[in-house]
This record gives sequence, C-alpha cells and structure tokens, in this order.
Amino acid sequence: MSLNNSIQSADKIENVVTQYSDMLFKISLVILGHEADAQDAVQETFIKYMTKAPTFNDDEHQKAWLIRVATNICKDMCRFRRRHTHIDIDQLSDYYETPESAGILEAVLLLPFKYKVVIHLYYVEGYDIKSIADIIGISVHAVKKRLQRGREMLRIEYKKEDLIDEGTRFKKDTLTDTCQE
Amino acid sequence: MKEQDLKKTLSQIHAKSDMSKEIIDNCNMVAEGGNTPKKKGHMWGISKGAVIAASLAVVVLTTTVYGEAIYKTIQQKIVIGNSNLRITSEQKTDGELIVDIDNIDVSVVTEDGTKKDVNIQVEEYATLEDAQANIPFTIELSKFLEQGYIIDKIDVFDMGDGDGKSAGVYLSKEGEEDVYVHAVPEGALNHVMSSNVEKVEISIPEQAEIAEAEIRIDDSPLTYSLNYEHDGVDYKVMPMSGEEQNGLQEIVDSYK
Repeated sequence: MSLNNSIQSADKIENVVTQYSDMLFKISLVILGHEADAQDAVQETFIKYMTKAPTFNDDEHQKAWLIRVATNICKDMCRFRRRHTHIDIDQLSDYYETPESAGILEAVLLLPFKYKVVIHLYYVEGYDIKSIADIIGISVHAVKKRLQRGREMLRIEYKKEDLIDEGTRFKKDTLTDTCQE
Repeated sequence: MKEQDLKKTLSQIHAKSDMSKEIIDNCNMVAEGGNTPKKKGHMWGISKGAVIAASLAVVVLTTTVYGEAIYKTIQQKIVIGNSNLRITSEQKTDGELIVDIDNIDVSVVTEDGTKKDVNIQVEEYATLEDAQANIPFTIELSKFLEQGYIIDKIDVFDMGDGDGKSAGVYLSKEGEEDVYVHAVPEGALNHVMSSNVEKVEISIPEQAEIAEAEIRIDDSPLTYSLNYEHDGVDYKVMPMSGEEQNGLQEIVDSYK
C-alpha cells in the first residue's frame, strides 16, 4: 500500500503525529536527556516526513522510517551540541515517579548514544534484534553486541547510583552528558 | 536493575499533552509556506559547525594542488543549514587564489541571526609525527596508507574560543584521487552537511577496530564523505576532486 507520494496532506500529518509523537518523544528524550531538545527532534522528524513524503509499504515500514529519522536527527543534534552540554536529572522530574525510577533513568541517560537506542527499541518498543538491525542500519551481530554491552554498562552505572544513594545522594547536582557516542 | 524495572521506567515517559497539537500546527504552517518553527531547545552549536566548515573550505581553497576548479563548489558549500559563512579571499588574474593560511578570519551568521567573527589559526606539518605532537588526540588513518596513499601534509586547526583543535590530513596516491581526512575529537562537530542528506551505513571489519561507518551523499560535490568514529576521534573523509564519487567508493571498499 502506498501511503503517499507528494507533500503529505494535513489530515495525514495529524494522524501520524497523533499516532507516533509520543513514541518518538520517548526515544528522543532518552537519547538527548532534555525535554525541549527532544521536542525539537520530534518536530523536525515530522517536518521531514511531511516534506519528503516518502512511500511506505505498510504502517510498520512507516514507523521504522520515523524512528530511523528521529534517531538520526538526535545523533546530529548531539554532534552539533556544544561540547560539555549537560543535563540535570532533576529537570526531567516530570518523567519519573519514584527515586528508583530516577536512578534508572539517569543510568540510561549516561549510556552512550548507540547503546541507548538499541536498549530503548528492544525493551520499550519491543522490536526484535533483526528489526532493530534493519531500522538503524547495522548488522544483527552489532545489535547483539550493543545490547549486551549496554546492559553491562547499565548495571555498572546503576550500581554507582546506589553507591551515591548511600552517600552524597540528592546532592543531585550531578550533571551528566547524554550525548557521548 | 531488573529488566522489567527498566522497561517500566522508560515506558513512563510521555510527551506533554499539548506537544502533538503544537507540532501539527507547525507542520501546517510549514506546509503553507511559512518558516521552519523556531527551536525550543539548545542552540546546536551552529557557529561551531560553521567554523569547522570554514576550516575545511579554507583548506581546500588554499591548497594549490587542488586549485581553482573547486573554488565555486566551495562557495556553494559555505551555506550550512541556517548558517552562512563568508570566506574572504582574492583571486589573481592567473587564477591563483590568495588566502592567508596562517590566520583566517571568517564571518559566521548563526541560527538566531547573530554575526560572529571567527579567527582560525592553522599550523602546517609535513609528517604525522610532527602534527601529532601538537594535537591532544591520536590520529589513526586506518587503511588509507595501506592502500598506498602517502601524506602530503597535515594542517592543525586551532578554533580558539574553547573549541579545541582538529586536524586535516592530505593524502595522495599516483593514479588515484587525492583524499582529505578531517579528524576531530569525539563530541566536537565533525561534519558540514546540509539538511538534504541521504545516509548509508556500512559494516567495518572488527580487526579495523571501527564499529561502523556511514556515507553521506548530498547533491553537491565535496559534500559526500565517509564518516566514522575510532578510538574517541571522529573522522570525515572526502575525495578532493569533487567531480565524482569514485574515490570515496574505493575508500569504502577498502573497509569491506
């Protein structure tokens, strides 16, 4: 089924934004660690969708395209971000409910870009490894390695969080760089 | 950390209720010919990207080997997204370009319309060892040299203003296209692409110790390149002729 072939119509845009904006915001926030930046990334993704008006085989194809474009935009934003731009986990308090969730989110945000993306797609979006490989354009082997390495790093970071909890926790001015590759 | 806790935490993230409406309104505005919506987040270091773009452009302008033929191409390339760069240069009647290689001034117009004057210091070195002694990161040229390319020279750019240093390496091989490699520490800007870019990712053999590479292809010459990251340094590889992509393809093939 061909969904489109020129600039997208207003109705179509509205439907696609309504359907996918939350999903794209989630992944953009995890990558960028900043609410307004994540919203910019989602906005830019939909503008590309509208102006490029790509043709899709089905809804899954369309969803995968949107994820790929959004993650590439986030990656570019990371590259263009000034060095030493950091985020404060406290600024994301709207997006976690408990101190434990804050710790987990902070650990995820500390992961390098490439690990965050595969972990998010695997655990949150429920994609299998082959689909993730197709979406982000790397080999199945590379996805497996990133998942494995990401989990290891997450465990290490989360343990560090626990240690901080026991000591100087809620000093909470801990700044983290979310955009390391 | 249990996987279910991870999933639960990330699943709790939701966009604010008014975001979708705002995006739809902005898309409609663009569709009707309006301006691209103003960004809410960080200024994405456009001026810094422009600086590196300028460094690349100036390098090409000042390299007599590559000459006048690409001058107009460079002029086109100086527009990056919403930024505009102007590089001051003079052209003699015999076609030779005059640019001060040791001290380059460029004007940058950033996304918010602010003008910024940037001064780039350039030091030229004949060998990689000499250049290496003057930059705070290690340059590894991977398989290029194995292919028979030799180094013509290395320029080290000091962006000043806390933006750090980067390096440009000129490689040549008889009968092959000259190649320019720009190396920037990870986290700094390393590409100068316009927004109209197609991306292709390719796999790299593990023994090369490079996880992945991507080719960015744009409409205009000199904006296609091979980008990869290795050991904390981002590399951008550009064939110098700017006429066709054969040189780049050979580089890419060398990784297969």
